[in-house]
Amino acid sequence: MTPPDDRRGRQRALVGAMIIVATVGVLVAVGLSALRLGGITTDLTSIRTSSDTVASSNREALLLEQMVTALGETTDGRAVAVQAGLLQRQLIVSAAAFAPDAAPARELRDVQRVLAAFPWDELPATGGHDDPRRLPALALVMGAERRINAVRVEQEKQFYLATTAALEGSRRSQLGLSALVGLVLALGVAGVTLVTSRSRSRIARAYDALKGEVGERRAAEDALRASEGRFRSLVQRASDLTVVTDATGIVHYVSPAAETLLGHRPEDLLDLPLLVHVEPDQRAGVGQAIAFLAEQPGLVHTIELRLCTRDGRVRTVEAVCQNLLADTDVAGLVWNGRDVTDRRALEVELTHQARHDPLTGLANRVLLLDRLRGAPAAGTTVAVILIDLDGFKNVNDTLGHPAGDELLRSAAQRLLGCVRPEDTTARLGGDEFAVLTDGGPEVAQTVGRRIVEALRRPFGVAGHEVRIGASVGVAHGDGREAAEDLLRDADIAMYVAKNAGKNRVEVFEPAMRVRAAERTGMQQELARAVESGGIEVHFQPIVDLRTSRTVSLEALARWRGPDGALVPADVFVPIAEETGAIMEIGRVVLRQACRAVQHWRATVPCQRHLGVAVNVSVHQVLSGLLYDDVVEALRDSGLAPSTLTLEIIESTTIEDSERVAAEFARLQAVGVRIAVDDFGAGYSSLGFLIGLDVDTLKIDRTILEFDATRRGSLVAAIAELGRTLGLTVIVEGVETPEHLAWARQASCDAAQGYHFSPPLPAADVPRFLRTSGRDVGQGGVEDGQPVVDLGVGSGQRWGDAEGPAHPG
Amino acid sequence: MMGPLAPPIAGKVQVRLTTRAVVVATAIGLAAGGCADPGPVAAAAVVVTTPAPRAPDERLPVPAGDPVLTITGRVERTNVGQALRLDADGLDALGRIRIELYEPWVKQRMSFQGVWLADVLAAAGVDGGATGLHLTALDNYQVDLPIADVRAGGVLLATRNGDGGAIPIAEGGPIRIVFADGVEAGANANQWIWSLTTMDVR
Repeated sequence: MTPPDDRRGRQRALVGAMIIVATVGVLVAVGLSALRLGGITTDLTSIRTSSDTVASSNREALLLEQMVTALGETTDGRAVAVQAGLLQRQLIVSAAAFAPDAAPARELRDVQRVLAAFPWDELPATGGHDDPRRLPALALVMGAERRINAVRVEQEKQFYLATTAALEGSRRSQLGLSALVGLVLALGVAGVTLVTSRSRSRIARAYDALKGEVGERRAAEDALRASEGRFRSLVQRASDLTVVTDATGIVHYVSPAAETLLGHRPEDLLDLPLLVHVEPDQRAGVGQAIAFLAEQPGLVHTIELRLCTRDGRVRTVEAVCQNLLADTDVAGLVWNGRDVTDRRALEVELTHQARHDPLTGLANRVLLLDRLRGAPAAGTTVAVILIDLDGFKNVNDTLGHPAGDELLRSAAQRLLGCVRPEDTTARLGGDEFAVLTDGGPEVAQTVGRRIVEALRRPFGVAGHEVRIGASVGVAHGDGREAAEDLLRDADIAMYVAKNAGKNRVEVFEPAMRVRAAERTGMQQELARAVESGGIEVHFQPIVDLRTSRTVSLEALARWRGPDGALVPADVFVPIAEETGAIMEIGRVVLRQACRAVQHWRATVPCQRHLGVAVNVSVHQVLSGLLYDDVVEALRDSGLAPSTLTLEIIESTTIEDSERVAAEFARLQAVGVRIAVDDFGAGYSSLGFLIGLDVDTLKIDRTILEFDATRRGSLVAAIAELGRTLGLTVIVEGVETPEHLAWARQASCDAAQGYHFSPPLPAADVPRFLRTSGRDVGQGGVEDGQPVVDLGVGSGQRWGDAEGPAHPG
Repeated sequence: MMGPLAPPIAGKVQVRLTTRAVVVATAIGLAAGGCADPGPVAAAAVVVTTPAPRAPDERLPVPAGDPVLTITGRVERTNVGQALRLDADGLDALGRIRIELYEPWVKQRMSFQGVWLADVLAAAGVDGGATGLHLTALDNYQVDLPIADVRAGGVLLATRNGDGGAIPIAEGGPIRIVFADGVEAGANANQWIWSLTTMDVR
């Protein structure tokens, strides 16, 4: 018999051996699966990382796409160049996240090279919307974005496939582990039962030892679970939807993204057909796609799903679906979907932007021409109403572009209020609008008049009350004309309206086309005249009403046309303003007038105090060049600054303009005087007078004409206003003795008009100056000095060359 | 018995929650436990130009060109309002060194020229109580850099490439922060901010 001790020793050895076998088995199994999981985790993280850098590139590309789209409206060229640089940097970084010769790295580097070849820094800083480089840039960046997105989709697909495989793998290795542990336990228990039924204490001890093993195993399993949790968390972080269905489309797995995307908890979707969540219209098509896919092992198919969310909205999901029914790890159809709802909305938005004006939301020229071309098919007559805003540029110049934009938006709203819903209203660019209507000739004219009235009403812009006007041209067609021709005819009619005094509607007639051609010819001739000295300066005397002496001369530009005849200022000045020649004409007149007047002061007896008045336009003032021009003309002629008065026509668009006031203050600081011209002809505004702190008020000729029935009462009232403000008052358009009597009665300081003299060529001025005092006057001349001091308060306003400069 | 087994951790993962990307810092390949030893860092750097002479408290001039770096916050020697603005010339005037280092984003050795960030802080007259720099890039990427890390050495404000040419935006220009090899603060690639525009001293 074996001694009890030996038996006990054998039992102990047996139990110990079994425990060791069990422990080693468990540890090997746990270790193997852990190693395997660790490897998979590393792979997944790597895929996830590269996938995320590609996603960043994609975002930068979309940002660039938006910026190029908005170029010239809200984004400048510099910002686009910076964004293009940032995108390239991101592409280089993304490519470096892959192995150097991997397909995605090559593709991303190639996209970067294509982007690098484009001259992004040459895109204009402003006004880039019409730049010819904008569309190539847009095409380039959209192409780049598509390519980057393709890389991204491929990366995400690989990530989800790897995740699915890893989850499956970990589940199986867990099963293997459980089986092993179960086997070892079963063996152990059986062995112990065999060895001893008497030594309960030993069994109890062996059991206790095994219990310790179970604790180890549990810890290992917890670690495994933690590892699995890592995958879950990776999938949970992903915003994209992963679905695994069987061949019939029954859902077997859904990623947590379902909750954010569709509002459903993933478990609520399980074991139901995917089709339940597809928008009803699309169900038949998707059903066929599933059936087709299920029959093609390994096939990858991209489909755009419109999925209904729990709260009834529809999200567009771009899904890449792969048939992995044959893959034992997956055994299903794997759908990797990404929410492209916003992207599709952006695409719709881009298409809209290509055919609409982003500032006003109206149609643009492209859409208008499309509709115009489409109109003949309807077999009706069409009319194009072309609207050009008058005075818009002033608003832009004085209140700034944001105010100009605000005005354009308000004008667009008023236009929409004048047309029928079925008409097309477009902004063609700048301050030019067009309406396409099929309402027939009468309707078009009525709409045109309604538009003029609507745009004449004051606008509230940037806290200012602003008045503009509109010139409207109408052209009719019966569908046989080319769309461009109809638009051009309306344009010609619009110009006729503008030249006929603005705020009116003109309907196109073929004769207008001839006149438009003449006009173009005139523009070219005027440009030549400005260059070759064809602009003459004529002078109209301004007479002191108390002394009857000529105290100043108003310089007026005259154009001697190619045929030798003088072209009136009201004909060529609008043309010069349109072409910009007005700036050079203003400079020529200023210089010639200063020279001539300084010459007469020196050579004509008793004219030491003669002054000169020169007209300047608001554009000249705002150009910032006027001050230098004036200083240069004074230096060139040697004329004293206080002798020169600049006359500006009271602006009808801007009641107070800080820039105009500042420019005038600079000029006044050197002694030059400022007069408001044609006061009373437009929208008279006291604010304009006070805001600019002018020296002289010139009452418009129409006031005297108007006063024929009022016996000068209006002139008297305005003169009184001028005096109250401390201004020298001059009345224009004195043509009859009666006018002169009213002017005297109104106590105006001076007067100007055909009663005294028409504008004279320079050659005739000295003779007039020598005789004028005697011809017109009742007042006397004492020692060449004016009897009455025209200046108000201090100094002599007129011709005090040696006197103190303007005290202000 | 053996201790509990944990699965191998799959590398240090850092998530860059901005417009840029996720980075696997392990890919940087820095020597584990490498620390900022000013000796090797200084030895690796070559002086290109010395700083323009300047009195200790002299203010930096108002930039004539487009400013590339704006420093705000706790700085004493401002030149435009409450900020210190520096253009390319102003940065060059601080002196330049050249250094070759490993760039973790493009995973290559590269050369840069620039000025030690610590020298920039000294020239700007950073308040002694300041502890951190809040850096912002052209794409609005933002990162915080402790001043202690900067003072430890090896943090370069790169203003030019290795040949002395301007760094294009496509390569992270016009200016960027880079770290000399082995500098601890540079082990986190997210600190390598590129297209830097403003630095708020806090």
